[in-house]
Amino acid sequence: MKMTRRQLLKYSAALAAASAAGLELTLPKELMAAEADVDKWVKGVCRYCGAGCGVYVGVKAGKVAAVKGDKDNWNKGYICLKANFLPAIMYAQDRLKTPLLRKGKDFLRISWKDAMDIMVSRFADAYKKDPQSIAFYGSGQAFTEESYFMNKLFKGGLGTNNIDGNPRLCMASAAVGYVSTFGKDEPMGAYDDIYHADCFFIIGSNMAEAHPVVFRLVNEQKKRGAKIIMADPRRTLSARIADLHMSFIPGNDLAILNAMAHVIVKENLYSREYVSKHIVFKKMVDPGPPPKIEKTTWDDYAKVLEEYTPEAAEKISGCSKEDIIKAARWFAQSKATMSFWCMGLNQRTRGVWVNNLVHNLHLLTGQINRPGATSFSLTGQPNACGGVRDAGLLSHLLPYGRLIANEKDREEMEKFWGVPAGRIQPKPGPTAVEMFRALGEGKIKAMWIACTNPGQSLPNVDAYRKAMDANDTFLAVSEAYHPTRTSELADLVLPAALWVEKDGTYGQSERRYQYVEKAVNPPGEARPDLEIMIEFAHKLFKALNLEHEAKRLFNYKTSEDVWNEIRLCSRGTAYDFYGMTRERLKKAHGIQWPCPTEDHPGTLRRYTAKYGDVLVKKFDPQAEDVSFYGAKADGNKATVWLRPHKGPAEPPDAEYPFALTTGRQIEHWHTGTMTLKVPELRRSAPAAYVEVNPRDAAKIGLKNKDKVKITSRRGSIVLEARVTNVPREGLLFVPMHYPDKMINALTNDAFDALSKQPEYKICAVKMEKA
Amino acid sequence: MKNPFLIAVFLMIPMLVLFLTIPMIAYSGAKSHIKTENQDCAECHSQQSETWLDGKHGLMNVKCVVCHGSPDENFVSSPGLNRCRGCHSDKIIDVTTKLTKKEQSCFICHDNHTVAVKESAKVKAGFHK
Repeated sequence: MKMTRRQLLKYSAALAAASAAGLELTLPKELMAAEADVDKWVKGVCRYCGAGCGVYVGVKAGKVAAVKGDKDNWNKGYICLKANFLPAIMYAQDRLKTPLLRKGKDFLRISWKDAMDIMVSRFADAYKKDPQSIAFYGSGQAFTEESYFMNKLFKGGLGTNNIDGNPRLCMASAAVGYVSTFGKDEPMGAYDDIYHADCFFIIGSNMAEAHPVVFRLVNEQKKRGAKIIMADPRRTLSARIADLHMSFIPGNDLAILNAMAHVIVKENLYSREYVSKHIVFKKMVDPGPPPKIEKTTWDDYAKVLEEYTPEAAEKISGCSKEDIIKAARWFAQSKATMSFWCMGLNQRTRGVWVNNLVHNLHLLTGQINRPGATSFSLTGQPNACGGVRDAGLLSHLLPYGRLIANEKDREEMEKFWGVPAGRIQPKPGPTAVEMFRALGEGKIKAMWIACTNPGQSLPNVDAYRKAMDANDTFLAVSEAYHPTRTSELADLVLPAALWVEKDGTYGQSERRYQYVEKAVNPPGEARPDLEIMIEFAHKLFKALNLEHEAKRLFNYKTSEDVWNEIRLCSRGTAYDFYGMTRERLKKAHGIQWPCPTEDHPGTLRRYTAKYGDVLVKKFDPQAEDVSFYGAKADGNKATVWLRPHKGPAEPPDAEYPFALTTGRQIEHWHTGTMTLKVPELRRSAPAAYVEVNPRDAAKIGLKNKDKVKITSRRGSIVLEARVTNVPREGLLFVPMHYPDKMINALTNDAFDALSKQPEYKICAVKMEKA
Repeated sequence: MKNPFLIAVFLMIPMLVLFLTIPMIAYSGAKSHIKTENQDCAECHSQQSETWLDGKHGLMNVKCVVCHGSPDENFVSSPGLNRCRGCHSDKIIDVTTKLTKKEQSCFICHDNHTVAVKESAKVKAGFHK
């Protein structure tokens, strides 16, 4: 296979054009095989979002031919629109079947041996000159075994923390929010809480499109009488079921959340007992770095809240004071309130703060630690939680709640991995945006990107595309498809097995770990990432004259070998899932951690002994029921943070008068490398567009379907206008999925100082008729 | 047969049969759909779209393509049981085990687009456990 760069770009354009025109590029005709025609059904998990729906994969003549929901899993047999068409993603025309090497303007087919030799030699050369000049950028879509392995290779084996993952772009603020409030990451609740809640507070989440099966459960509970509060500057499809829709000027929800707390305190709607037993108060007195934090008091907190009257919040946010008061009362006075949020809170320069403010409401009111009362962050990718947040594939983390910055944690992991003391570097590595900046600055000379598409998904993407395309650095990309907007910039492209072409573990939003069984063989010479990674590690260590160490460190034959080490690594931690053997996971429809022993059934609700968390007694034997045992330094108490209101990094102004936000459509997932290959999905949602409020449209005489040019300080894009009441006045919305219309050329790469997650959700733009 | 009236009737019968059955054949066997560029289904099928929107599938965004496929590819006008299996595999077992071959369709009881149980449904309570 020889494809010139020009041909490649043309093919890329053809794919995009086909996508826009809804054309087919040879796919199997009937992807919904009849029941009788399916040879076997293999249990697995959906490939797309972090909801983690259980599925059965129908295999016919060695191919994925059908998918159906697993009725014994939490999703009760339901799957979303796009999951119905999963078979088609396996057999798209652009599945990559051989390694490709970029030679000048061409991409040449090469053997695996040559590919591995080239990659090892480029990484070894760079490493010998400077161990901090190599990097790995991973994914919340990789299996836990893959992410854990790369973390061990880089941090434990090579002594570099230049390893981060795309959950930095989607979940980092939620993770730091949980850690800073409760001591450890991950939600304490479960989807089961939906059945017990009588009030839902949904903010920064269009769950009807992004997490449709979770949305279905919420709607079922609404039919049983639950109230739904939805805070969003867009009147999304999710808002169809809202009893109260709180619209506000994008980026000003911190004022609203503080004002809700103000009402709760003012009207004595808080739980004195819960506050006195389980809460400490903290404030940041100096943002740093490093940030300086002080403990404070209830009185100090109440004083700070004084200024956040509903009237003041209305003035800042544009959300009516009546709505704020009503929301606060519903939140506090309902029998059980459950919060959901997603990227609308996380992808912000104040992402951690706004996460803390949601947790504050639960802690103040005691709407926590019992069925239906919980603070629940939704997740974007199928294994962002299990593989990246939990297994520690972020540049500041070590596995299972341990930190790079903590000497004791480093020592513990060095001992566990069997590497010399001091091997793990004490300084956290660069985070996603910082890593690509370092690539552009030439500090990183060799980089490996696996199972993700930063050439489309990074904010301010054109700046980082230049870095990826540079001639003096080496970029290897593991992908199931080619070309993607990242693989087109690579020096070496490795063909990766996709989804059920390999086996491994996924961990989703409610701490549920699930095993994905291999159902079919990968096409051509494509291989499972774990296999590629293990071979690379051995060969790299050989090139570095560390062959013997490699034999000891990377002595794995199967993904189960890695999984068994992972279980051991979690043992004794607050994440303990030692009891989840591969055999158990094969039979079970997911198990929720903590699950410390093989006879333990898993834990629906954490931090409460009464509802079954056995780790409460282990870490905090004196606790009667509730204990935030991850927060030992705070006496096993959670933190209510004093967080002032602060708006976005780039609010609209006279020159750029509109706020731009991005998001998802139900038909597509992330950068569309999978869903845009499915003819039904492409036909249903064929092209990018911009939603414009009718009042804004009238200002420039814009009509529905007119072409409009949107410009930010970083880039421009021309799109078809959809004039609709979905966005509030002053807000434009563009979906993020389309490779031919990359909205991330406009988005802002400013990031949260605490989580380092960029502010995709708000930037300032201007709009003119094209 | 010299009566011109009888001849006309005789000729009209097959024509009438053809006139009535061609659309039915086209409807039941349906494998094609007019090319539609990027038109939204609702532009031609507004009534069905509105009915769908108000039903369970509309609220949960189970859009046209799930049951009908793409108008340009894999199109079916009358979805078979396989199109429902993604979410309703257990209910399909009821249909295939409790109904005669001729009856085996979700839409003998459920409205096509609201998916609500029809007044005329042959079986109601207890059919699906």
